[in-house]
Amino acid sequence: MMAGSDDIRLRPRRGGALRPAAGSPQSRRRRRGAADLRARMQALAIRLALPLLLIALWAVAARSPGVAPVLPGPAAVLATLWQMTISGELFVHVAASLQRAFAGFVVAGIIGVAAGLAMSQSRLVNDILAGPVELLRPISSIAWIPLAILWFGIGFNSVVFVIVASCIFIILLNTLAAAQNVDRDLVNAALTLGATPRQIFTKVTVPSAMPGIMLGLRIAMTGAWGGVLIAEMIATREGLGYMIVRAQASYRPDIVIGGMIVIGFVGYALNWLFLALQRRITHV
Amino acid sequence: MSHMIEARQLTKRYVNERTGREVLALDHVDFTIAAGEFLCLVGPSGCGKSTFLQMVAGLEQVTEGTLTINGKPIAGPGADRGMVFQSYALFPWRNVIENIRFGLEIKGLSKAEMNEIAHAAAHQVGLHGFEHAYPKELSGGMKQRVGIARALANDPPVLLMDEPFAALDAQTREMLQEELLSLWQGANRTVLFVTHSVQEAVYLGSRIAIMTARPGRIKTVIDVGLQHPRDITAAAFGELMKPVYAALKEEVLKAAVSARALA
Amino acid sequence: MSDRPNTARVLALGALGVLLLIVVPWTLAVLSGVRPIILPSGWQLLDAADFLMRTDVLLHSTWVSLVRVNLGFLLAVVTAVPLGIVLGRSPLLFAAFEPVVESFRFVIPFAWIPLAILWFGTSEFGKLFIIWYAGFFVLLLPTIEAVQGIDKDLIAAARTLGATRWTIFWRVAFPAIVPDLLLAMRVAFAVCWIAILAAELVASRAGLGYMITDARELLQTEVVIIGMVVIGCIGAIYNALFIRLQRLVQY
Ligand SMILES: Nc1ncnc2c1ncn2[C@@H]1O[C@H](COP(=O)(O)OP(=O)(O)OP(=O)(O)O)[C@@H](O)[C@H]1O
Ligand SMILES: [Mg+2]
Repeated sequence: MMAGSDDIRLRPRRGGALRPAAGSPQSRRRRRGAADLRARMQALAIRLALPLLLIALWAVAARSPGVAPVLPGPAAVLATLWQMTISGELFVHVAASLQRAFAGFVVAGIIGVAAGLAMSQSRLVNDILAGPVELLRPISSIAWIPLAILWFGIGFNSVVFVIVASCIFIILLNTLAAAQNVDRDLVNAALTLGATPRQIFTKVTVPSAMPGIMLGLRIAMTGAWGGVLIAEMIATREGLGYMIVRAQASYRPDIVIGGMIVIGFVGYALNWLFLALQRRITHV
Repeated sequence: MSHMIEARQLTKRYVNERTGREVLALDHVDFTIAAGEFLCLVGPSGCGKSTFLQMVAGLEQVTEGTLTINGKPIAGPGADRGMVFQSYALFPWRNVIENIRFGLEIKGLSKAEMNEIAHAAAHQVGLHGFEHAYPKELSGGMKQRVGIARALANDPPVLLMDEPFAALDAQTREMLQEELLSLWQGANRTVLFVTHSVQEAVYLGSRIAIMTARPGRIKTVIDVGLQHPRDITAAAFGELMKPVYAALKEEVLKAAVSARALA
Repeated sequence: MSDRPNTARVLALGALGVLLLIVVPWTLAVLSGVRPIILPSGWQLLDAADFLMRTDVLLHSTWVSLVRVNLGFLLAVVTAVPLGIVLGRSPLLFAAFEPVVESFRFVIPFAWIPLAILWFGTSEFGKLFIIWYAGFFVLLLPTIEAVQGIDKDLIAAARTLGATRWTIFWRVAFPAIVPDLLLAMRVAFAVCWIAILAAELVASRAGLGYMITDARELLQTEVVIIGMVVIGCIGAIYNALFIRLQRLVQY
């Protein structure tokens, strides 16, 4: 029993939403002897127990008369998902959502990183931008949706605007903090190697701020994925957010739950992709 | 070609930006470091050794007096004065070769030239086989080798080292001391080396400057008349350490007394 | 470069920034004849604010949203923190729960809104569920990590001094995680505040989220903007409160 629990603790944790990737590549690649096989099977069983139990509970609940109309079972949901996959309908919604999330994320990323870097380099720029940033930052992204619709109408532009509003400040503030906290010794080292202020910026400040910038971008990406969903529930005629509210209105809980699963899966995949990308770019 | 460094009535005052209080770090220092010598600087903690080094590097401004290199006042940092840091100060996003190459990129050398010099420098400090490792994958000793190679790749006439081996274990330190000496002997280079270890100072330096407790001044300068390689177990070596110890101890005690008086 | 920020300068430049980037473009837009539906003038905003105050629409909406968010947040705290402490202490339970927590973490709270409507209609229960869900995971993971991060030597030291399990928990372990908990609570509250607005936007007949979406349908842009200001202020006030609390326990 003890061996089992110790083994579990050794497993590298995946990065939480607010944290950088944990676990070095070495620990990830740790090889284990055949003697550990039992312990590994045990650990796997422990990890699978609760999810399986929950799915079983779900299946049982879906059969009880009171709940059945609003809770289709796992099999029914999977069947619906499969149906929507071959009909291509699901793909249309996923593609629409991803496209918007990506567009908003890129716009917010460019503006946020550029403004954050500019603020880190100039006291004047910092003080001037700090006013509007502090004023607009507390307004939650959701609150921009009605205004976005009034300004851009129903459709792509509204959704992209809301996404930009929902992630730009996270990106900006993370960039600013990272670029302000560059190790003084690194700057001094570059200076004694003859670097000019401009070279300090491109060769020291930016690369050293990179992990912080990436962290901000990753949190913002989660924000963008949430932003696109809620905006689509109100301000479009396609996309996953629209798909699940329409399914709710037409009383199709199977599509609602199927949509939620897809939403979770895409969010997970995006996070995973981002971490993989981050590991390639920054070696820290 | 090596360089001579001259301080005349050199004074440094820091102003604490939050409290507005002034700290007199260096007080009218008169001192000359001859071209090509290996000068070791020792003194009680907080006496201004790092401050002096940083001013020579051009990283800190002179408050009063003059600080010249070959007769020209030091205006700011430059590639002619390389620096090695106690904290290594390696760029974590660059591998060994890319770290060593940094100064050469600044100089704008061609890629082929850069690689040739960087690999030669890596070889010189015993980093062969580690060229593509990242700093986080290296031991402390290896990191400091990279720090030294990075400074040397620029071929600076002046090398400034602020307690470069203080964080290393005894064996690694001895090895690096040895290598540093051979690097210094090969090229005609002025080295300014800060240390807390009297033995290290006597082992490495051609001269040893002992600083007073804060505000820092040069208390005495001791010539080390020994030939390299020096034998730390020899009686002559021990004899040389004695006056350095005595002078240093006196200042350390003074620093402790004034600290108690302040408290 | 200075450590001591010159307050007057910061305020003046900040105001200048607001003027240059918000007030001036806004005024120019209004003067150049943009329709009030796109951007109302300052006077129209004041008029609308006056009207909202007299009819208590604004106060009522604010009250409704505040009650919801506080209740849902409290619910999240009293469920997530104890569970987090248990999971943080037991590697076995942690291993068992982790896959579930990790899966649900990626199903963002907004995605639950349609299902909550299906299950609970537009009743208060549905809204509370969304807020609870939003806050729960934001609190759970940091709590687990805080408990896992408690200095083992500290516990051992307390034990050698003869402390009982109960004393160790309340006098040693709990104080050690309080700073982390407060940080997590600050983040969680912000997330709950977003979640309730989202829920009200999609499925409600009351609250600030409903007020601004209703105003949008009636093309009352003034009311939308005033609602946004109130939403921002409440978010900022709670944020400041939590920061105060965090400072209190910084030892
Ligand atoms: N940036 C600074 N601002 C204010 N005071 C400073 C600053 N840097 C150093 N000092 C002060 O100047 C004095 C000399 O500091 P310095 O770092 O040069 O000492 P040191 O001889 O290198 O000490 P150590 O042996 O501990 O490294 C100290 O009293 C220190 O507190
Ligand atoms: Mg020092």
